Amino acid sequence: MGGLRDTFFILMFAMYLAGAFLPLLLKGKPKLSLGLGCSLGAIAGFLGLGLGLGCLLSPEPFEVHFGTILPGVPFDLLIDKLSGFFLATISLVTFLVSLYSRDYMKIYRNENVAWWCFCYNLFILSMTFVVTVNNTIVFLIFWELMTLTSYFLVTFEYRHQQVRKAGFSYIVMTHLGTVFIMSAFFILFNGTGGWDFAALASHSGDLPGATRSLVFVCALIGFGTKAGVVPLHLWLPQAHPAAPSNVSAIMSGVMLKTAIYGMIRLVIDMLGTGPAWWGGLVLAVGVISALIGVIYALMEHDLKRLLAFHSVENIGIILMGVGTSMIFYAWSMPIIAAIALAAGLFHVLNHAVFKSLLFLGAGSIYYATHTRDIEELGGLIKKMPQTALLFLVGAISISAIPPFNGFASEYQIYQSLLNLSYLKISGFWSMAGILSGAALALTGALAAACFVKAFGVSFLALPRTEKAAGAREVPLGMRLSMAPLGALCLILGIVPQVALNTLTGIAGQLVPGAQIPAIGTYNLNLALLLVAIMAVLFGLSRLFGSQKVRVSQTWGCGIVPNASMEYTAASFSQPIRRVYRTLLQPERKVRTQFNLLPYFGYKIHFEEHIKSVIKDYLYSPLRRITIGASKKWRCIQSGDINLYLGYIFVTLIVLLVWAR
Amino acid sequence: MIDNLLIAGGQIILLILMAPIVNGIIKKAKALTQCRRGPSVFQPYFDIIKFLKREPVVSVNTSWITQLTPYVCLSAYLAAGCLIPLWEHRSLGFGDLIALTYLFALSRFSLALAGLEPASAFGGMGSSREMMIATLVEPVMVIGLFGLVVAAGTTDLKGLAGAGQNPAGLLAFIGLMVATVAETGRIPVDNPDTHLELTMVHEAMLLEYAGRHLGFLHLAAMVKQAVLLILLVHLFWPQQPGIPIALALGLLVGKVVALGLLLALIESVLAKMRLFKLPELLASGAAFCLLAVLMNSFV
Repeated sequence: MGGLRDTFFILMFAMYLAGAFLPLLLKGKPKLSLGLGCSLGAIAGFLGLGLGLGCLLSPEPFEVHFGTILPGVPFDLLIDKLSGFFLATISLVTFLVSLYSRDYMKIYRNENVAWWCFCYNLFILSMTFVVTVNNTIVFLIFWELMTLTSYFLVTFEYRHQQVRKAGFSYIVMTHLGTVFIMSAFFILFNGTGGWDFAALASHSGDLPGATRSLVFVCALIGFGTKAGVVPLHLWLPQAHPAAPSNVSAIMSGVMLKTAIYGMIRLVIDMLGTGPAWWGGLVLAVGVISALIGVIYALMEHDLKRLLAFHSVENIGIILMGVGTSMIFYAWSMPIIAAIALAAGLFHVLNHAVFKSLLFLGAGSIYYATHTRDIEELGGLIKKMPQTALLFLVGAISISAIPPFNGFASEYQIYQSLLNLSYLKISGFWSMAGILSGAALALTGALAAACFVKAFGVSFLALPRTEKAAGAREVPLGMRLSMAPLGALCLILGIVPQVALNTLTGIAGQLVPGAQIPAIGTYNLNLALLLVAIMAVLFGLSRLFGSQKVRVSQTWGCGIVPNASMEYTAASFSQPIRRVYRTLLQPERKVRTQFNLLPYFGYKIHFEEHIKSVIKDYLYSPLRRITIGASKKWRCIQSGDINLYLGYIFVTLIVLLVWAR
Repeated sequence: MIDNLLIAGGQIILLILMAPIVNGIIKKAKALTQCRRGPSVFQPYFDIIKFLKREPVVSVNTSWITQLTPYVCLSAYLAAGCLIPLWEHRSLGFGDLIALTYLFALSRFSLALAGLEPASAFGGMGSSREMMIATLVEPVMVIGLFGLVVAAGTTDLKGLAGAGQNPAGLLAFIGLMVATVAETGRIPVDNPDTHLELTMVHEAMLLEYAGRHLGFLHLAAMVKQAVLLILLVHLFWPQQPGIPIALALGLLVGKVVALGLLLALIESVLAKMRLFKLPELLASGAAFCLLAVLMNSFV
């Protein structure tokens, strides 16, 4: 068994490296290099999926030794169940996205696709290592490599000013996050003297409580930035629309999850039991991210920005599961802690599946129409029926509607939140459980509204522009690589217990001593019941009703309807904008030009903007304070070299005195 | 499994038979309080049979979604009805309270898409308003139901029978009643009898439907109302176990009709609210539900 995994690993590693470097060598032949890069990436993804599943299902972890990369820092991989799960998730999405990219990247044929292939495969390889290494230094190296390669993927269309700006904000924010992750690791090293994950896990218990809490907060901020939790999410809605859609699918589908992996690994695995407020804080961050993310998503008309805000929402939902699990862990209730963690991990998998499906769908729309603005779309279901069906599956899944997978994992998270209330530890936690549940319900309702908008406005009714009217179905390869994701949405929704019971195994590995009962679900019964009722209704209406369906014109009060009469995305979200105006603070400008009398307007100009509350009330004051402080500080920077020599001299004296 | 399916089949038939007459009685009661004679209580049956006989007409702009939606809506509500144990106090294994609320979401989602499809302004308006109202109703519903769930310690509907029979339950009942009024599209939230497109919510989404499809959707709306009322009966005024089936069913219909009369009374004494006043109404519902949760959490 170990031998088989070795082979898989070596082949996967070789394929990623070949996929990165061969296209660079074949730079002169873009078509060949693109085909090679994507195919090798796909094969590597397939092998990684096998390896990940192998490690997930086998009782003993899989180890690889590469020797030392720095004195005293070995480069070892240790793929236990948790790593295996993340590896499998990353590889599954990579496999399908790589297949998709072969056709999709054709719209970038005039760009440097060889460079894209290089960054893409290296990006995936570094993600693979991030979730499998067992040493903090090596983790940080690959974490950094992951950020850098993804930066180049985000700024692939660097000729656009907006893309460069998005890339800048991405790299600055994630590096700020990395500072916190490094601090967390260095504080741990300071306390335990180890870089090795296993050593840290066994010694972290000796640290004083305050230090452990400091490490936890650093980890939450650091990994939270990468995961895009509110209020550290600002880079996310900028970077996703800038990147090519297939890259967004990878970044949102799996890269954000490496941060969840880091958080689980560092906090639950290494730090172990903490006070209950750790979990409470994670739960609160999750609730806020879910609500803020989805409500801003509703206001977006750029399909990819909309999906990016939904990533913030779903990361929030995942953190609700993880946070609840940490609370139970703090109360030493390993069984329900493991179930809650499994619920969070299940949502990691489900989000990876439906979000990459949706981003690929957005990519297909872009491929066919060259626009991301849903206000310019419409009627695509007639032009691209299969893409429409797959996008609809993703939309239903993300809105947590049964019998699809989003519902299956949110159901488990509901149950964990309710467990928090059943225990009646105190009224506070009971209320926290119920109110978080209510927040999850609100999130679900808003997400459903958002995807009725996103799907309805772009795929249904009449085309609003020439671009949409001229759309054609995308190449078969793109549809075929989306289809397995759509099928997975349904399968994971109908038989979630298969995935769930494997995932409780992972949680059981992290939470020692727990004999976790098998989770049974009724989703299959529910799905069968729904299908059975529908079949009976359909059969009855076929048997007794008329077969004919007459097609006629829509009633437009006497006018033949045209595209300008249908509801737009802005008008669809208007009631919600108005109801939640306290948060969104919409500002509208309406200018009407009149003909003759004030009753006969002939031209109306309408614009409405919403405020980003977090940007305006958190980041702007912060920026003002920083810039103000820097201006004051500038008086010591005169530019005079003698003065700088003086500074160096004084510093030297101070250091000598201090270190004496 | 087989007997569960048979029971589910029985519940579906019961729902289909019962839902129109509950609606008819509500209409009759409304007419009587308004000093009108009103149509016969059996009128909804005649309407639905008439619709089902007619050929459907669909807009030229629509796709398969419009034609599938009537089936999805009706089956989702019927499936929701199968989750509540009606005469035998055992769960049928199709789902629990959370599944029930999300089945409602399934049917709402597909109806809202169907509302957008004909490319008319009215349908889009209905969808948009429906989804907005859903974002207000869903949290109220969940807080109210979870308040009872905490007291009972389970989300299984069998275990929840009579979960509201305590002082906190009374508060939750008021809150859930507000949510029910909103969910069933009644005054003061929506007017089921309106003929003016601009004031429609639910009806606006059905505007382009005709014939068999419309019949299914009307029946779906009635079944939804019946399921919600049955849920309230189940939570607050449950059936005694061990009584004969015929008596149990008679009692159930009687209780549902009694709650329906309450709806009719609310509808007769109130005027329709402006759409953007709804957050205040539902916030008051949420406040009652929260009080119930507070009582159940801290006592």
